[in-house]
Amino acid sequence: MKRTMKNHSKSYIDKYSTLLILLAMIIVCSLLSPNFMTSKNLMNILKQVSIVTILSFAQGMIIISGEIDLSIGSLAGMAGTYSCILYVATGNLTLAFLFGILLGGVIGLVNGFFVAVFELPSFIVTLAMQTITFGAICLYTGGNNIYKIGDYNVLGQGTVFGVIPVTVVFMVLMCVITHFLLKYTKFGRYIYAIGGNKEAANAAGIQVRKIKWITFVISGVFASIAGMILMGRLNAGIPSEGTGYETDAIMATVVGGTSFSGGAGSAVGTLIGSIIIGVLNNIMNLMGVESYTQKIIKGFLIIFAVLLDYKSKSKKSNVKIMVAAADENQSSK
Amino acid sequence: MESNVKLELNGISKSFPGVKALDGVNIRLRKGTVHAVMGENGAGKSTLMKIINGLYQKDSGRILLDGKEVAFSSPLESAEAGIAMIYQELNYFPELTIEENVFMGRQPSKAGIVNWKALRAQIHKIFADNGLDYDPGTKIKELSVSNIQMLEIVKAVAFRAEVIIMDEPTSSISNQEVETLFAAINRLRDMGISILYISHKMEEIFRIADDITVIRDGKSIISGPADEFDNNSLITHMVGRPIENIYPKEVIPLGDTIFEVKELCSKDTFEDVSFQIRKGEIVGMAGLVGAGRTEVARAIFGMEPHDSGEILLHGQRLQIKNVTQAVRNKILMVSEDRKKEGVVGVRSIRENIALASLRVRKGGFLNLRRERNETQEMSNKLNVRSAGLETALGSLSGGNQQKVILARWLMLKGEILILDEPTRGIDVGAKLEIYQIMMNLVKEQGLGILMISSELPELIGMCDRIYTMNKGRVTGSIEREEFSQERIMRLATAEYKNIQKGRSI
Repeated sequence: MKRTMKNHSKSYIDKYSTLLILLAMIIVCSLLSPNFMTSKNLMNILKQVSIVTILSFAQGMIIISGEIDLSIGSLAGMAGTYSCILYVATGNLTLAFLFGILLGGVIGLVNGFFVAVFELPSFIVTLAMQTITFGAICLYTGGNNIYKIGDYNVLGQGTVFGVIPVTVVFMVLMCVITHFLLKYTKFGRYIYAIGGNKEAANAAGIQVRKIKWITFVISGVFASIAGMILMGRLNAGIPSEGTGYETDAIMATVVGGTSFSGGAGSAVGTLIGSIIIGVLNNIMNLMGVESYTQKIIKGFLIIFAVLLDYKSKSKKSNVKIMVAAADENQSSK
Repeated sequence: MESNVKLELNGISKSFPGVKALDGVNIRLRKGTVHAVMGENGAGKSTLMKIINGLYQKDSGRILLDGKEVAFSSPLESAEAGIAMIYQELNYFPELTIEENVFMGRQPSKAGIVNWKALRAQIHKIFADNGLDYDPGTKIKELSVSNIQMLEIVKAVAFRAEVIIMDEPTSSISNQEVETLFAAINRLRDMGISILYISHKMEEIFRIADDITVIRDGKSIISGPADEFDNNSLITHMVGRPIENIYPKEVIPLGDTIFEVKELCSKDTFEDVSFQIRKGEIVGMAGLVGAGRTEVARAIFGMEPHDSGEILLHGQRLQIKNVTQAVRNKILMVSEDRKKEGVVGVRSIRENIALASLRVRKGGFLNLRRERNETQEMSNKLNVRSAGLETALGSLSGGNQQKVILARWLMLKGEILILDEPTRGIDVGAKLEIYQIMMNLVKEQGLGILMISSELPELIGMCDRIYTMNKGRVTGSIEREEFSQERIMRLATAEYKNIQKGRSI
């Protein structure tokens, strides 16, 4: 009984380890810089991470299912820019927004088709889709940017109640959606199972192909939403702007405790992971760390974070095995 | 008598954090005999062997070799004293050759440079002495498990081992290879080598062991000559409670035929397979490895395609192209490969049990409270032992994992349950529980069960009828009253065309 109690508090700590890291960082940062703990700065951090975070939710679901999507960055660029073009042409924001989502969904559909039906490695398919989507937008714009997008920028620069940035609202909304998808729907349960053991999921009657396919469509839709917000914030349709975001999204999900081998991870964890990276960037800026140095520090800290997570996980499973063995011994006595 | 003892273990104890693995174990291994150490998984057998071998250090107790107390701090020291260990998981370097592996760590060398000429001369002599015709230049990965085992034994002899410890040597080799292994063990015994043989398989123990020691919960329960034990007494000692009859079989009145397979064919693997299952019936499928039993089951369950033939439930023809369709039609299957096709190890027991039967409330969201209650109930019913429902399934023992997989299907109201090697790799106690679950299913829910197994005793113990298969064809069907190992084996090895011609077999 005592052991179970102890075990409970331990698993509590494990469960909230990323949150504890974030809190520790916030305390340290507020000591390091007086400008850190201001509401303006904190809101700024959220605003800055919002786009990558939305992409991280997409990437998170894909990684949980045991795949990877490298196309989301340039897909965001493409869908965002096309949406701008449509807005400039029609002046209808709803139409432009829906068109962007449709584009993202279609690209996800194609990714999913090759990965789920032909069982090609997602790394290769989505890597190819990265150049396809970038090419597909540059072909139309001739590689140029789209300026004078007018009110389209509310997507990135608007505020709700005059204080909360629209981008942050989107981020929170996407977090809630992802959380519900993962935790409270059959779909969510199935992608955990597929990522944990594809063969076993199939043998349990789960339609593995269909679920994988849907996951890629959702990823595409999320990416396009991120892309449109990005263009709104930049106040222009810039095709190349999304490129590279996919790796930031991978970092955020992994720092947030998503297992790279699939089968584990959460929306809230991803959100925290993304904010951790955001806080890190912010404090380095506040302290005047030079930008190239920032990159090096960031890289090492991410390795460190993953190492911590990895270590605590491998220890945890050892403990669990021994507890189970001990219980077994006891109950057979 | 005293001088006859080669290796004596006296009150060996060993604790790991949180678990007392060994608690005063005594074993006396006589010179030139085979001494079986039996116990369920987790009883402490492997820990004991690692202590003898010097891989682990004992907390207390004495080890006497030829009457002198010894203490090994590493496997190398025990090897020098003449104790060789053949592990359950054979450890070797797959990309290196036989000669490199055999001499790993003891290459004849000068100033760090291996003397290959001396090494080759030695290995040729060793192989010639032991009648082994392997090419020493072969890479280890090209050898079978059994080949490597032989190599290990020859290696042990060559390096003058006087005690050989074998940890579950038959766990991953075929029946025929077991014969080769036993012949080798008999040779070793004749040479005066003493063998400590760890296993939990009854059948083989009585064939080769001179003495038996049973270990349970880290204690040596009983020790004595093998002929003082029998199957039932051994199981009783291993499990710790008396068992009147291993199989909880009750012959119950059977219903109508509910499931029928007609002339099922799949190119290259099986042909014209037909059989029936009645309501409440346990139908066995016997045959040698490769007879096509698993393939037929997988075709019925939609995991592999079939070319022609019919699958009927209640007289209605089913279209089964994938597992989802099979499950929808109330046909369920537990795969022979639990780890690959059953367990989602990183997810919890709860999620694994609920996986095929997720409950949804209005609005499409999962009803987690209902799920928690139902999975808890099912887990209690099947006696799944764990630290709690949220424990990762991967950390449970094989028997408990199997119970969870069964629980997954019991959450659905199935009609036909296919069990492919349902007790493979799980210990005796859990086996009995699985048999009991099967019996409850046919009795209380009227399920029809198709049981595929390579262990004839369990088929004979549990089934109402047994079909035999050989080379992809059904070669016979035997009713319970006529069950006998000989009869089943004869049919399972019979040629289909001979049966067609009506020759008596």
